Amino acid sequence: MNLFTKKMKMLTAVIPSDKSEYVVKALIGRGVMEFVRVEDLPEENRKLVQKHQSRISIQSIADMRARIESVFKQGNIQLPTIEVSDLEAYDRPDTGEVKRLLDAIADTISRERENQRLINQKINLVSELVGYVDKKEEEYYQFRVGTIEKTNTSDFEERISSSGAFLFNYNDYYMILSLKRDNSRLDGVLDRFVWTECSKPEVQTKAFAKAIELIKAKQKELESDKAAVQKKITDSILNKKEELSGYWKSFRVFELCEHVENHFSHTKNTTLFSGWVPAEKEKEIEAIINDECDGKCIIEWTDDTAIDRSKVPVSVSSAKILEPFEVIVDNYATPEYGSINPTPFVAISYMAMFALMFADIGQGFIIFLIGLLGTLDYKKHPMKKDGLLSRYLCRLLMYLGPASMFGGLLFGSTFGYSWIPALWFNYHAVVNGHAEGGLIHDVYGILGVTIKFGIIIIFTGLILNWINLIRKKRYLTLIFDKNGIMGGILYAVGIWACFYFVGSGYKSFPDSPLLVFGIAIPAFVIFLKGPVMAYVHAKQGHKEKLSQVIMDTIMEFLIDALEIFSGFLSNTLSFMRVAGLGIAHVSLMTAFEDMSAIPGNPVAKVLIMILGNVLVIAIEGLSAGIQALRLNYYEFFNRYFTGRGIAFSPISLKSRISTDN
Amino acid sequence: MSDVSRYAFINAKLRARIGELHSNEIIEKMIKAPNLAEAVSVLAGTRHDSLYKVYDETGDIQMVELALFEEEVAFHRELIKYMDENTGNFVKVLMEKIEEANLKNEVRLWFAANVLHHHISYHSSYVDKEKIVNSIDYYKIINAISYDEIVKALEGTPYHSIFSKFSNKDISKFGLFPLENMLDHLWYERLFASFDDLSSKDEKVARSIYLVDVDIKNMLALIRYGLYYEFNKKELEQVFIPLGSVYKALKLEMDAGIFKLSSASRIIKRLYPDSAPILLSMDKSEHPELTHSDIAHKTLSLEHYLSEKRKKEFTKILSGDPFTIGTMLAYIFLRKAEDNMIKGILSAKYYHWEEEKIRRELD
Repeated sequence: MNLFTKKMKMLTAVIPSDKSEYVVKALIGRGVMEFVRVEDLPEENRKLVQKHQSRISIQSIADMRARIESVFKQGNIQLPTIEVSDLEAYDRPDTGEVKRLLDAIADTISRERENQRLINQKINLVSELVGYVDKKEEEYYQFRVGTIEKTNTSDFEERISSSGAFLFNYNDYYMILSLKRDNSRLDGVLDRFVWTECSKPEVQTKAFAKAIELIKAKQKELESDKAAVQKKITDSILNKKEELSGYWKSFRVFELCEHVENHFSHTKNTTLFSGWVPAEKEKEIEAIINDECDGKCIIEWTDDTAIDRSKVPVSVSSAKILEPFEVIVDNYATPEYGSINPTPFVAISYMAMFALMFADIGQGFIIFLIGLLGTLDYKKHPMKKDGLLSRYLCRLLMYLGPASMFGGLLFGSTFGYSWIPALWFNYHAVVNGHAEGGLIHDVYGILGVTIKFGIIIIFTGLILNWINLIRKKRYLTLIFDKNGIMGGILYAVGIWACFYFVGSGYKSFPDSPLLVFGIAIPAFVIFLKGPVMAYVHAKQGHKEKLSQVIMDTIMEFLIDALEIFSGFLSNTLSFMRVAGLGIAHVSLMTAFEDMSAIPGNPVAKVLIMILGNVLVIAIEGLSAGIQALRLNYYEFFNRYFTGRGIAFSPISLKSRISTDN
Repeated sequence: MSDVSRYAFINAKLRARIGELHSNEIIEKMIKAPNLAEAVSVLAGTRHDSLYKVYDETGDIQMVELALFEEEVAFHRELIKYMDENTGNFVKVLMEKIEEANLKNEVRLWFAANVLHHHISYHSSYVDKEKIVNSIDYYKIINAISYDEIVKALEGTPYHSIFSKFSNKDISKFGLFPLENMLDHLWYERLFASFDDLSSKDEKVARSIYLVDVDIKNMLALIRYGLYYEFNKKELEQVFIPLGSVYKALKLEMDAGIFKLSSASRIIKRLYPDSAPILLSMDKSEHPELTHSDIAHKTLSLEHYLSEKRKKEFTKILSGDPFTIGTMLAYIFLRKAEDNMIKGILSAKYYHWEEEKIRRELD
């Protein structure tokens, strides 16, 4: 894991054209290079080169790949993964051959789908008929038992079937079960074959029971026919799974190679390419290219200092264990090149905030279990779509659960009960007004704790910002900015004055020259920001009028002063929400505890407490998660995270690129 | 209730859903798919995932169409849940249009079985039999042996008065067109009456949208029945929906006895100048060489043009006041347009149309 974003280097290489394919595959296999188009290189480097021209239609490859994916989808088959070893094994695919295979599969599927459709129509008809029979809606169906005079029974059976009726044999009789709405057609057929209805009531009764039995058997038979067709479709795809997987990998490798080669330019015998690589991989990449070209190549490295830092892609590496928190950072923005990696700080602050707002050993354990079971379920069913509890949320819950349990240990809460002694203070007792002794004995104490927690977070943000500014060599901003050193001093003095004021019973501020100097000197330095910046701009050739400088200085100072005062104050007080949610959590659990005592029945008590815990986990857990996110994004990130970076996206086997068309 | 509190939640929800409506990419993939099965599989994992599942289970695109229909009913019901009573009643009238389409399908099946003597057996499973707005026993209609049974099944619904105007004999003699035409008229009548329950701002939005809708319908009726089927003046007058500016202008000429198809084109040119070139190219007096198939094709072009025009108008509504019924009407229209596009492509794939032909018909 890196504390800062990774140092990057730009590689420019010239290799023999006949080695290009091997180099491309080797670089994709490593997956650590982000390619830069040669058109984006300086003018003089571009003159003698031509753009890459593909020998096969990329669109046709993409279409074929999409068709294979569609077939896989129909067979409920997961897409294969490409390994580095596959890169060498797969060559440029023969699209004609693949098309023939896909067309053959499509023909089989279409044929079976047509069968499936016909079977389904019969199922619909039988189901409707059986439904009427079961509900005894005789006005909608008709049952006949009888004989025919004509001897061509196969013709009779065919015609009855095509009129939508069901024909069965019963001893020497025919039985016909039909919908009355089809009678006009059916009657014509019966007349033609001189149908004679059986007049014996006992035969009618027995035959009807038999017909019901047979039609229900028919219904089952049709259902199993349908399942068999479905299986045939799946089997027809599964039989070709390996072959299709191979083609899919070929197409995917081809598309990736084409994507990379589109960044290449060529002279008659050489290939030129360029791209960003983390500095730590410099030697490895150089060795790969040298190896693939048998040493016949020229490689140049450009240091990040030679390029505008805003154009250098940013690679952030965090420990695998911090992955869920990296997503929180990614969702916000990409850090600036060379700045601090916010992930470890977010991980700590997010879990700390959650633990303070949702502190309970039992509920934390449930959250952990939900996360664990969800993650295992997604692992077991990799094709499963993300539900309300997505894969990511399940992973995050596995961290928040233990955080909540730790909070529960500090505050002695288990499923809303104080079954174990608190390590710090009993939150329930404090909120419910019966705390005895201890460090905190009322809700004001809790508010004070969360405000102090907020101050720590804000100061951490300020210090991280100062480190970033020093690394970026932006010393003027470091001194003059509201999040710079002067802003920090003003904040520190403000906190000291406020705590003194509260400590004096809201009567007085510190009677010390430090307060005056602590405010006046930083304020004066911030006031100087305007003239100093004007002087720096003038030295860079952008001279401003004196009146303009004076106006800007006054205006900027007023705005900065207002922002420092209101911004820091509101950011700090914003942390009171941590206390608010913690108190709400305790209050809700207390309310459920009181409600559970009303029925005076132990079973009802347990049920009410289970319901209470479920509701609190769902509602409070969600609120605490959202508020922790909000505090990180707005109060913490605001101090040091500019989010102006460009994310480093090397091409690898997992890249989600398609065609470049 | 203020417009903001009435629409803040539902319109934000609908705007988000408009953003989720299928991109051209999905439609493009469906068109490019070489067969029906692959076209349907494009829908897997999208908002229409359920349609893919229906096809996977049945292999029947008519079942897919039924599922799409049921989704349409379900989303209207969902809209009602978020509306106050008056606006909810208006949405119910919009749902009656869907109910009317379902009823027409049922009656068409009955007609096929009892008048044309076709066997309809399994076809009944392609129509929705659940209650949409009014309590209609669809099983009674689909299984009716006589027309009177249908009329009886519709007692207590707004459609009863229309159905009771016809007899078995009328239906056998004239077919279902007059009945279906009167049902269309009934819906517009009920729709315009329901505007009175809306707030004045909503009423204005809804009225402006549906007055254009009526005009478009009358223009298409004029072309389809006037130019294509060559209806006489009296028959045409019965087809027109008696609302909107096109009808008003045509009626004036009809009453004055100076109505001609060429003058109708002039009226439409005045009211909807953009559509004039297509209309004029369909005038047989100017272009005697036109065949029926030419007119049919041009009618489709005009329908498509008018549909695009409506689409633009709804897009304009979306950029206007966010707290009116306009957002909901735009969503309903855009969603319906997308559903129709999906249905069209799936049918085309079923009949093995070439990619080019599908594009031509969609354009």
